[in-house]
Amino acid sequence: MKNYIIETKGLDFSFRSGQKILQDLCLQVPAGSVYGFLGPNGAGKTTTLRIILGLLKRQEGEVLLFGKNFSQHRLEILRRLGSLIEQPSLYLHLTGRENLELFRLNYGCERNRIDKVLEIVRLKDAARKKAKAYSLGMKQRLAIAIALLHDPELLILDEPTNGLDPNGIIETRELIRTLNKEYGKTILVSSHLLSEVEKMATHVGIINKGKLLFQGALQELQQLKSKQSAVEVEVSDTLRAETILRNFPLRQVNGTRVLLNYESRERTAEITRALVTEGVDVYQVSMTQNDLENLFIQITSEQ
Amino acid sequence: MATFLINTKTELWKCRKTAAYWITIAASALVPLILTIAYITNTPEFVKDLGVNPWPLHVVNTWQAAAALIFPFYTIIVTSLVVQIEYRNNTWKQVYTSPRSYADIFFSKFCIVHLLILSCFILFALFLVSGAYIANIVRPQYKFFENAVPWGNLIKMAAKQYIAILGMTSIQYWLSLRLRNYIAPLGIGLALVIGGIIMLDWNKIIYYPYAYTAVTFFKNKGSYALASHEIYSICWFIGVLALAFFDTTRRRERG
Repeated sequence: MKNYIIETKGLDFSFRSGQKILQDLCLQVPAGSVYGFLGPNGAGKTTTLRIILGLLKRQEGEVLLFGKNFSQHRLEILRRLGSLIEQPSLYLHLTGRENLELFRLNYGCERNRIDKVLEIVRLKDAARKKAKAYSLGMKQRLAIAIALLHDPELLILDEPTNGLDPNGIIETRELIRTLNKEYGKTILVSSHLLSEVEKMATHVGIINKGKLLFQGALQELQQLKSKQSAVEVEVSDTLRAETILRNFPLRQVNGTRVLLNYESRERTAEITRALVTEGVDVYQVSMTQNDLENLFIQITSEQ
Repeated sequence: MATFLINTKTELWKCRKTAAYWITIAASALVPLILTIAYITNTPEFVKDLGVNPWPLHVVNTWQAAAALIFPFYTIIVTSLVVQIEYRNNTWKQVYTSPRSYADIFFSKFCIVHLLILSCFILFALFLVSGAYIANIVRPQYKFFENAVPWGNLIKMAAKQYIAILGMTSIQYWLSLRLRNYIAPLGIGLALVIGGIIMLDWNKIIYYPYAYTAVTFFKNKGSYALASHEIYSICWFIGVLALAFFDTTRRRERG
């Protein structure tokens, strides 16, 4: 039995209209992981996180955090986690420090934690400014600082990089990695960008239309992805290329390009060699980009 | 209990730099200020009206507008403002994911509403007295200094008005919690108060919580005993508060 920090069992959720938002969702977030919760907008990510945090009443299924039932141990569980759901929620008429001070009292933690978290999110210089005057990135960082105040074991971050500029995205990603590696925190982070999740997650769960399509370690996802990857070769004669490459997994022909399933680096070299030896000119060999959309098609077609 | 007090303190802090403080001062100062100006600008007439001991009539004059309109309006506005802080900043979700029980969240905010209402009453009494003294300093014809301030009477009035306003506070608190748009509880509350003033002579008015402060002032200001509408006010207060709390614990969605 693995040690899961968050575990949902058979989570179902639907709106009053009967529209199903979540179906039989079984999320398993291992201790010490950065769990990337991936899915397009409207897939049910925020709904899931809100149910986990008790902001939405669960309809069917069970939510276990730290192995305990949420509804029976609400306060105890909330003391051990920090969260950031959707846009940052801050008292805009108060300064950054005052915001932290409020939540510090709620959590009952030491005063020196305020300076500590301001340092972690690098907001020390702006702590005396009103939150109203903060840029979106700063607000996001202050919200993360609030989530970190009581030094929780678990962080639940909903799209923490949403709306940030590239710099802010990189900073937030670095922060998440540091918190995981240096401070040993388990982090559940949702995103709609595959590339984003790949850069920081150790585990991934992919949700679409309320169903969990994939769940596992990042390596498993990458294996799945490589199955989906393709090599695109631009040649002088596609007809001849097709015959030469009949022993390779040819997928389709697009104008002057042939598309083959990616197998390995060596096989890619063999493709080029075969073509060149037979006198077909090779203008370009490239790997096709893998985006979330293709990955979804891949995963759904396998089911 | 200690954590409840700390959390109530944080609720008070959230009102810092918001209109809640200013409106408390404005609501308590408005009527005393107008009367002070009137006393100074229209001295001969008021000296005659107020008589040998000007205090009793001064107290009545000041309370009249305050009881019927200012305090009910103030209660409605301040309740909305205190609750609206969370809606406006999108912070309900942060409040509900901090380790605080539903009762803690619900009652600490309600305590702040009442703390503000009580401070408004106290400030009102202080302004009432100091306004009279200021008028007396400017116009020595008045006899405020020669007579003792009727503190007992003032405290009795304030206590009765506070009891009369209790019923409204629960209803407005529930409305403000349930309705995300702050105009709605404000509009409903103001309409109900104005409705109450129009229906003041209706024989069933004792069942209508939005008119209780006016009923206390116009029909029951002399007596120490609780009038029946004041007892109903306490019933409304407890009943609606219990319902509102039950509703809060059962809500499908928070923040």
